[in-house]
Amino acid sequence: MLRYVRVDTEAELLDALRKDGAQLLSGGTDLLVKMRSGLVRPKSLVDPAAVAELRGIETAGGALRIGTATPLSEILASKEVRERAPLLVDVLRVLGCVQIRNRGTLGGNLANASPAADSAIPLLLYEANLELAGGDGARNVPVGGFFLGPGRTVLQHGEYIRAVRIPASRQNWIPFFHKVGRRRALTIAIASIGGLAAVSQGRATEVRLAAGSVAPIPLRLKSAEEWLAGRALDRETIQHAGALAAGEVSPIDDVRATAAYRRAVTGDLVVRFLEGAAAA
Amino acid sequence: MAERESFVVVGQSVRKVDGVGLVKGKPKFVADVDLSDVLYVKILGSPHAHARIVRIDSSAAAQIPGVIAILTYENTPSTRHTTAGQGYPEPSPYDARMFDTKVRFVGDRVAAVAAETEEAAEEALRAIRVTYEELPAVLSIDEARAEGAPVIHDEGDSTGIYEAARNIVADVDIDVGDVERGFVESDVVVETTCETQYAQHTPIETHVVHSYLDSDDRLVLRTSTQVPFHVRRIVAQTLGIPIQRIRVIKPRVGGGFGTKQEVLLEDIAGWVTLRTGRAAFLSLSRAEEFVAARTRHPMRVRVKLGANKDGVLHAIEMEATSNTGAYGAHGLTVLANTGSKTLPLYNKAKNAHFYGQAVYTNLPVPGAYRGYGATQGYFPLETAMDELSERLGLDPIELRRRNHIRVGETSPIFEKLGEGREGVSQTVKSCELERCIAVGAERIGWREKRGARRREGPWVHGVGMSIMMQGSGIPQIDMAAATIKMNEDGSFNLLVGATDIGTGSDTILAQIAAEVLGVPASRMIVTSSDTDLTPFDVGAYASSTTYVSGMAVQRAAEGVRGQILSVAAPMLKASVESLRLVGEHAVGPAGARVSLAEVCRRAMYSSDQFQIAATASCVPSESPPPFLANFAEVAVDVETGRVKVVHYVAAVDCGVAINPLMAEGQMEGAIVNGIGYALSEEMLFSSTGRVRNPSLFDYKIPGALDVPNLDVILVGSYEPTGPMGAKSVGEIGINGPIPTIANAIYDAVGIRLRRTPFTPERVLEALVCERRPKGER
Amino acid sequence: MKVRFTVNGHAATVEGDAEMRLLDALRDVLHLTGTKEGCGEGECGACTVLLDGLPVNSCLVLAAQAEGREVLTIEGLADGPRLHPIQQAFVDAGAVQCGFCTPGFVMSTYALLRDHPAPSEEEILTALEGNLCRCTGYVRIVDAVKRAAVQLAETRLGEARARARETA
Repeated sequence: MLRYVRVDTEAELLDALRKDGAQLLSGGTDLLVKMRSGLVRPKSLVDPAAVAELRGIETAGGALRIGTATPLSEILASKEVRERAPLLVDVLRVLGCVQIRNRGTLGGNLANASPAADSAIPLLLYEANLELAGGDGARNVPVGGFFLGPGRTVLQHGEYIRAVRIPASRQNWIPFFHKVGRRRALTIAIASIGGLAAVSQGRATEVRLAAGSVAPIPLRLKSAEEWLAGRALDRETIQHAGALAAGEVSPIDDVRATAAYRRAVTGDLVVRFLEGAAAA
Repeated sequence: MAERESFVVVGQSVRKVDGVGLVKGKPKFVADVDLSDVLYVKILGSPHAHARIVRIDSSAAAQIPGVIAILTYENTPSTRHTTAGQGYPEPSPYDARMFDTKVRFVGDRVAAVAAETEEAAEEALRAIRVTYEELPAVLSIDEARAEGAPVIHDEGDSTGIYEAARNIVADVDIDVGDVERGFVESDVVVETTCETQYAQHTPIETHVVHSYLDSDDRLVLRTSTQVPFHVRRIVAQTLGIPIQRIRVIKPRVGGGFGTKQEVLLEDIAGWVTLRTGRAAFLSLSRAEEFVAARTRHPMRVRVKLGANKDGVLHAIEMEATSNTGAYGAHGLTVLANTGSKTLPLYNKAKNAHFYGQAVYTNLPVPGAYRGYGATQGYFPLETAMDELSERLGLDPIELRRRNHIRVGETSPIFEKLGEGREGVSQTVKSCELERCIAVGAERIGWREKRGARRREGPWVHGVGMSIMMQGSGIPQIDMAAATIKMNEDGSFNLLVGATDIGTGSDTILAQIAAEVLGVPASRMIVTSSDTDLTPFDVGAYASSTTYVSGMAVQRAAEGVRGQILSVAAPMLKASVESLRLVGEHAVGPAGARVSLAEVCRRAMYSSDQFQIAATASCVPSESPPPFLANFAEVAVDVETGRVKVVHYVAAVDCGVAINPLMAEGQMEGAIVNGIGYALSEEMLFSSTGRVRNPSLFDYKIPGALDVPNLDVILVGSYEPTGPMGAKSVGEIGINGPIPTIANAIYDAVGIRLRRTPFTPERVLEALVCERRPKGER
Repeated sequence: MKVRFTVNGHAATVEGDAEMRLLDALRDVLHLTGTKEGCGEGECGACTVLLDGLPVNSCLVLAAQAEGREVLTIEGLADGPRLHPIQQAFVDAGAVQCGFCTPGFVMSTYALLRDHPAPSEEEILTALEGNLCRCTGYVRIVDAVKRAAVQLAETRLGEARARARETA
């Protein structure tokens, strides 16, 4: 029979997660749906909502530390986050709906490791680190190295995400996020593309690109980024970057769209972003 | 207009009579009662699209604590029937059984379990061992019609199937004039074929029933249905018990849109209750609703139009192939309506031909869905009209003006094609379509926007239009009745079989009665529907409630009015003819008055005592169509293929709107449902026929953010055959979005989309095709 | 297990297994059936209640997670026979058709107008994005939210005036 375990400290949390069949219950917005449809059958649900280390938003200079059990709506409402990581706010604003954002957490969204995990896009772009904790101690993992495949991450048994750390970065980023879905609200992405660009006199100083729902994991589009670095954002450069981006993803056919469409849209949206950045 | 009366209650947006209870969250729905003593019933669905059941071993399941009954084909009645709640005898084939020895789609009923808890019932379902002999499955209309296709209904005892051996449920073929010659004689001919998808109603409340025995051991079914009287009849027939032993109560219903015009659960719950003597509760989960409830009939429809240079149609041909899934519920009638609700609109064409077949497949079962075939027919018809206008160099509006039906006119189609049989001839007595078109065109900014292709970044704008008609009830078939009785405080009980499923019919029927009786609508206590208490009504379908049930209510009210006047006349010492009912009083010629409460008290308690009450019925002799002109402005993102409806204008003629706010609400709901159907909603299937997206997560219905600027304009007319001049308006709105948006997309970016929904992917694909040089295609 | 929380201002104790959702506790144990189940997967919002003031899908919250917290349901809004202005606005605007989704919409609106007394169109739509309605097409619902905002503002203004008069 399922047990519900509420923990108050990290020590209790570690202890509870060590048990066989233990499952961290973050917001529960994905987990409870999966449990009801029989996709997962944990023996115990460990609720860390009361553990202080996992909650809240702290700043240190330009950097941010967000406890993974912090509800998304709290992150969305934070002035500190808006100043330091505006793209994260842009993305969370279209993640789920009010009811989901009041329960859902970054930890849950990331640990779920959906290829369509929206929150991963800005975290990849800001090159965030995840503070993991477990029986063998704590470690830091870059978001880019966290996902292994659909539903799979580097988290070991008994290990959990304690916090997300977003380092200080440029103030002059031009941000971009676009999600293609079948409707506006509460939509899971067919493809989502995010970007940060620093442009000076028509030339890309630095461009970061990330994409979701177009590969087994959310990922950075490195070859397009490298191509763009230092180049003037003219038509040919932008078109080529779009082609590189489209070539870098490995989408699949599913109920939402075909691989071919996802690939095409990836390229088109990268072009759209760069054209906008060039004009800015 | 001379015949138009000056109404007091009718035409007012009075508050919904059940609105206060609903906003307070009062226990009004089937599942809102104490269920602590019920047996929970769960249904085992087939994992195969097509298979014979060789053996069912439920011995292990029966051992699970709390399991009370297991139902299979071995211990339930085997009567063939249809699940379609239609007038008797139903025009749908008797091809279904409670539980059959064959399964015909993934999710088809195999067995059911009744247990003390939901968990025990679910565990028991998992413990039932079924041995199947898999059969090749038919997963498309082409496969169904192929030579040597597997026969889906090879049982010998089904009846009413057109040609079971060829998987053909129904075949309709009607001719007017000589269409072939008509095309030869035409100056311009266009032809288009469109396909529509599997789509679902998705009421927010799924199908649900609660059954129990009353103190006299009669079976009571509290059920979320559009057709309580058909439920009673079909359950009696299926279970082999007298109608007299069944009472069907319809509490508030959480939306229907056609899917609850079917008897999907009541037979099982009823059987459990009869067998065990226990109350039973059966509700579909959202996933089960997607798989095992009803859908819209997917269709492939070809339309060919021939016109003269002057833009007048000379010949119309429509050929429809309808996928009716594993069972033939509504197969014939939806198919027939694809022609009968569309072709009369363009009555100038002297030559017309409608031909259609409905075929079985091993896919989920389509049934009645708002629009009922007309939706599928208007897509190619209005697309073809758009193409024709281009070929003729005529504005699409002008082409339609030259061809649409008008007051005083008829169409031979009315008589040739009806509800699965011959129709009823009629002339149109009210039609303000011309004005609908003019008002709508003005509101959308047709003249400035058509062909302008305004660009905004990647978005390109365009406008499109379409026109349509529907009907008001099924003439000379459907019947509605109403009873009104008076209480001594001057209030009235209005008892109707008409089934308010959220449509507001309780309110508008109260308004009609109140208008006749000279009281505010709040003085009517409305009861709908309870087969023990309320008179017969076929139920909420076919746009019948306002027109048909409304007329029954008007007649019953007139009966009561007559009785009131006969009591009041001696009280006021005046003749009956000189009296009026105004402001809850009977008023004499010199202004002398007596309150309705006094009138009733006299009749009830003092002299010549009797109950002031009347029952009246209506079987309409015709089905006056409401008319609609749709206009849409869309924006197409040429990089991602996304289509955004920016502005949608619907100008509708539904006669006198009994309650304008509610009439607009019917239109708005139908249009937004239609926009979802046009742009995002689609059931997808695996190669083995399993629904791949049985959740609201992956089957996207519109949310508040998806709604365009939406203008519904009620263009008044007066329907002389209707109650208070009214026609029905429940369905017509859903037909508009597909052709209107398709035509607007063409105006914006020059692509003709002939398959719904217009997903970003399909749009982008068409755009890429269009951009490619001709030789590469 | 036993869970204690406050519902509509009253202390409540429910007993059930760990799987019990807040929705089940409300409907099956406390017989507060105004909160509806439309999908059980957090997509339709018919089960929306306020948990410590925030709208949540009660089908995605375990009853145990409500321990010690405050729950507000549709039954907690009306003041005796008097409808809450939001409820009244839904009736007046024609925002109710079948009414099954209505309690969820009203609860979402309640939270919105508490935090944004004069919401923009976009704020209204965003606040309602987690609630599905299949009957109305949302037009009248958005209208109801606007009417309710005006009504609540007038009530507040009236109260402020009354207070000012008292102090004067």
